[in-house]
Amino acid sequence: MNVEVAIVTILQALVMVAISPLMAGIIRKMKALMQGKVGPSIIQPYRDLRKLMRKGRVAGKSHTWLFSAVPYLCLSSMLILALMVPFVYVEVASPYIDLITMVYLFTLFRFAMVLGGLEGGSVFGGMGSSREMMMSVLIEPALLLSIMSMVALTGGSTGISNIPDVLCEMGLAAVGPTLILATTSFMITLLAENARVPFDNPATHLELTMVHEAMVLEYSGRKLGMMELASQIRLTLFMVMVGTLFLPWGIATEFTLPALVVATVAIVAKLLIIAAVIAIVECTVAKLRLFKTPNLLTISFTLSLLAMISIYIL
Amino acid sequence: MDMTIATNLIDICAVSMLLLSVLSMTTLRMAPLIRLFSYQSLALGLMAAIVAYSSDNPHIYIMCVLTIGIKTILIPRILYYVLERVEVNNEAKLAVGVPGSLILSGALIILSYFITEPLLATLETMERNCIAFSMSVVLIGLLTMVSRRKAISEVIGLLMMENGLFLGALAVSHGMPLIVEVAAFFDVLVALIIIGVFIFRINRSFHSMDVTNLRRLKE
Amino acid sequence: MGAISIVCSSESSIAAVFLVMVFLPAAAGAILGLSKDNATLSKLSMVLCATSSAACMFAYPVHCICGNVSCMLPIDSAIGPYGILMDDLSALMMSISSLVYLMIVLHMTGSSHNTSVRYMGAMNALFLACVFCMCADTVAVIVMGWEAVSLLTYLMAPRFDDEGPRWRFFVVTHIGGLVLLCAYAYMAVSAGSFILSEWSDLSAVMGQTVSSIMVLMLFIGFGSKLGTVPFHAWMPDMYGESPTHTTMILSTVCSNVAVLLLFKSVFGYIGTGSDLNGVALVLLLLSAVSALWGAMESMIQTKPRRILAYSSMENMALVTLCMSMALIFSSASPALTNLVLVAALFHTINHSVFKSLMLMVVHTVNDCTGEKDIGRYGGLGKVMPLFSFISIIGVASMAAVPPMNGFISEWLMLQSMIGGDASETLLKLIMPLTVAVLGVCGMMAATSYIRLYGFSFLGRPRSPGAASPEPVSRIPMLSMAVLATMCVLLGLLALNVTEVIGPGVMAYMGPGAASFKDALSGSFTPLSLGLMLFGTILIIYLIGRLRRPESYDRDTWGCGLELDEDMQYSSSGFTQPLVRVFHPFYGDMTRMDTDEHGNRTIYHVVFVEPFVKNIYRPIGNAVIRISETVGRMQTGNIQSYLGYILAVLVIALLAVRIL
Repeated sequence: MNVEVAIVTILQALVMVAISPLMAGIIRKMKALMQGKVGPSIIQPYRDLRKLMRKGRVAGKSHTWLFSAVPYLCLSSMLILALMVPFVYVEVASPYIDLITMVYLFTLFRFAMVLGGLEGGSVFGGMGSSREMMMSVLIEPALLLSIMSMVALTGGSTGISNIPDVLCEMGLAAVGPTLILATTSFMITLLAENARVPFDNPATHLELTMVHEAMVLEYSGRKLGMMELASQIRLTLFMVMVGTLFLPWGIATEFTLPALVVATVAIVAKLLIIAAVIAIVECTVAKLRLFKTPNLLTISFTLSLLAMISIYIL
Repeated sequence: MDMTIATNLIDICAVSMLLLSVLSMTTLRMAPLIRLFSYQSLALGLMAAIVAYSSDNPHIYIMCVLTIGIKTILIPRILYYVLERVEVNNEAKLAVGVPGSLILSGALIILSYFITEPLLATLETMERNCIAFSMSVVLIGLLTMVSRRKAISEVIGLLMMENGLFLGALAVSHGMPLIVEVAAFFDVLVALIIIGVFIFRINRSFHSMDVTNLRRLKE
Repeated sequence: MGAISIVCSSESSIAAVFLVMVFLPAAAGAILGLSKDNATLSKLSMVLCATSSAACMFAYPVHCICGNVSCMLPIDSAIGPYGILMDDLSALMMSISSLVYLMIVLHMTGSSHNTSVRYMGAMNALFLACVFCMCADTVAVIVMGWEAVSLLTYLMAPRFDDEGPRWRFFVVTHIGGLVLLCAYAYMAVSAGSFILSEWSDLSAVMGQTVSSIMVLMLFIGFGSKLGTVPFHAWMPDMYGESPTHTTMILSTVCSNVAVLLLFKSVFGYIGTGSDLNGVALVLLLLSAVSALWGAMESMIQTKPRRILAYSSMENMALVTLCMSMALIFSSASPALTNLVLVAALFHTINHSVFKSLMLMVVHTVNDCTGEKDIGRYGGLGKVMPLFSFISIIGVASMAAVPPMNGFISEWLMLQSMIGGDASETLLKLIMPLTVAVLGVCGMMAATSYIRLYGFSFLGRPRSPGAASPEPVSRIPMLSMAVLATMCVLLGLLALNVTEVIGPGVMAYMGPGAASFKDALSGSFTPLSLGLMLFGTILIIYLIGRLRRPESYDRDTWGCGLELDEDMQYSSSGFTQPLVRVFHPFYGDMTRMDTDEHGNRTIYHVVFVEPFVKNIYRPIGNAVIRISETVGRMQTGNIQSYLGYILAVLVIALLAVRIL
């Protein structure tokens, strides 16, 4: 790997991290507009983060060192992923990490956050952790299978840059059942994994139905800011993954300026479209009762299984 | 049209038919179930159109029109009408839970692929891939009939099986002879009307569409 | 000793010294076990055991220096001579297993446990038996060693009030042992030799049907120790009731022995010459069911050791799953076969390290708090931060969190499943399903480990014992720290470890074997991942250091109430949603009872193993019914016995005439 690529890799990671609060703000704004409200400004998440980062933390008396370690683990796993997920240019630091590791880094995030939820010794944290684990038992295989089916579609290499490379080369011929099934399944996992509406409501606190917010309930101040930022990066990463691993057309496969410009425009457009899709789903679908979520998750699981099988059937 | 793109489009139609079948396993209400069926028929119609276009077989266009006309528009209308008239609690009852039936349908898909796999080698058409899908649609339709207890969902299961058969026919031999197809469509309509009448009767006799009530007839 | 001729490929005396150092102290310790109970003797016995296992850790270096070490006794038994052969893979397994064994012995010194001379003698003997099994070269050694392992572990579980668990273990492992004896005897006859290193590719001699049956018998025989469904019923009770150190050895070193022998017998001796897909599918199904079942059951157990028992079952099922995948792959791609076998063996090694660590943690928690139920712990991390740190390394390894060792073996398994060049129908259908099984199992297992850790170390104390635990003494802490370090190292240096396992596997796969690396379809360097993780954490920390806001510790918010010890999430509540989702598999759980006055109804949630209910009990009942029928025939009248003899004689003669 040469120097320019390394610089681009780091730059695009920084960009992804920098825009992730913006993505959260955009989705929120889109939702508000669709519901006929004015809504907060799209840079509101930045203001929230700035406020949180300045504040000290208050923690329960029973907290241990793990309580402070969890935000670091969450944030750092997301930063590593930001370095690894292709954004505008295909070649990333792929010799160090592959798609399976990528899925498991999300597991690391979840592992840390669930333990953080149990840390406070309150009822809410445990409840959030318990529900998160219930969902992730079904999310994890779906995520694994949908990514595996993309791997199988593109010739069996688990290197990260392989998928966009091969798909761009195949062009429209790649648009087949596998791609559609895997993308649909991945979109459902995106919603579930990032605590979006049919599974969880990101806008409320202290509801009996909450999952993600319950886990970070004991966090405050800078630690909360780190957790929030990590969650926003996770959402952005998932959206970028839809845009570059499942529908990668437009991404720069060679290192030239025009290609990079086209890729930047393409990824921005894709992110906006995905944000709009999320906003539409959140406006039109009601939150599911907790014990109905396995139904939707099983759909996602079945879709990804079908995606994998359809490669072999077709 | 480019052959790979045509094949891909056909595959997408077939997969979406299968997908709609699978989704029908998860819907508990009657109205969405009917809607899913009409989408499935639409997918079948579109697929017929693509097959007609790419294989240059004009008589398949007739099938396309018939499918969309009868199955996408007419039959759902009738079913909605029946549903409105019967006016019972339209929540479907499941013998197996939603995740369970989804996993069962996944198993059926694998099974049908396993069964049709030797057939694939013998076929030359580009739609041959759809055989496995057609068989799965048929089997899942049957599963719908097995696991649902409401008369309307039984009908939809039957109609989905029918869709699966048409998909198979399209895949194997670019559709059946025209006369057979037309006859089949009228068969379906007649069957639907008879079943519709039955539903009314069941409903009047038992004040419910639950077909488990029919068990009482044995005694 | 003069009768023993040591044959060493490079004629060095290192091998001789090594063998003496390994076998003599342990043998002496085992003999000491026969003496009267005495504190000094038991200490001595412990030291002897530690010496032996410490010496045995050098098995791999010794093998590197002087190649295969073999030794044949000039005595014959009914089933051939006695002999050992330490090759590549055996040496590696011996090194890892004896490291674990040493740590277990060290951990014993500081724990409140039964360290009578008898028990220590048995420990020594068990060590010998395991080592003999791992480097056995003749049928006699393997069969006797295996039997000794079964018998000694049985003896090392003390008598309980309820003899059930111990007996179940005894019966199941002896059925397994019997099956193995038959299998090895048949294989010896087919090979025409009792020396294992002379066996190769027996499938060519035995034919497809017979070799399928042999593979099945081997899987059943070793599976009875590994807890493959339906031979797992002894596992939770035995793990839960017997002394922890017995459990540790049973779950780690004995599992290593079983997996190693299974691998050698199936892939080295029987070979994959003929088509074994049929039996492989059956085994795949059994392993998948075991893995899922183990993971599901481990989520609902209330005793930490039972959680670990089911988790052992799950992990070992993943290993057998890999082995059956290897049987299926063997006809398609040798490189892939090697890859999946490397994954299996690596997972076995990892399992022995993290499982012994976690059993030690559980034992120590139990010692410190005096409580046995997971619902009575809590808040230990506050009092014992170092202990909590060591345990979370074990938990993270078990939950396959990168960059720990458990993750690497799952990564290898997934690599082998995706890497399969799917040309066969069978493979195409199996691969997505196994990936799904791995995913579901992994997350369920992670749930149960998070529960184990979270409700022991986090939150607030739920009992007086947990509120003021006794401190952990130094030596047990040291042994846990060593194992935790091993977990991290095996993870970060995984590439080097697979480099070592790879050739060992290839040596058994016969000529024409391709390197497992050819089948890898992605690259991944755990060390760089670890460095990146460390680096990013450091960067975030340093940025955070620039300006540090003040922080406060307050009581956990309790809606304005004083929180008492029960006002927090409970361990059974934690997995309740999952139990609800998967309730069809758990079966009927709620049981209704009335209290002694008969006026209140109490609901209990009781989990009954469906396998026990639906397989074991009917078989038991059938046996009782048959024996009752037989009992009725036993009239005690001499004439009727003679009559039976006459009838049998007539039938036998007729049979001889007709056939």
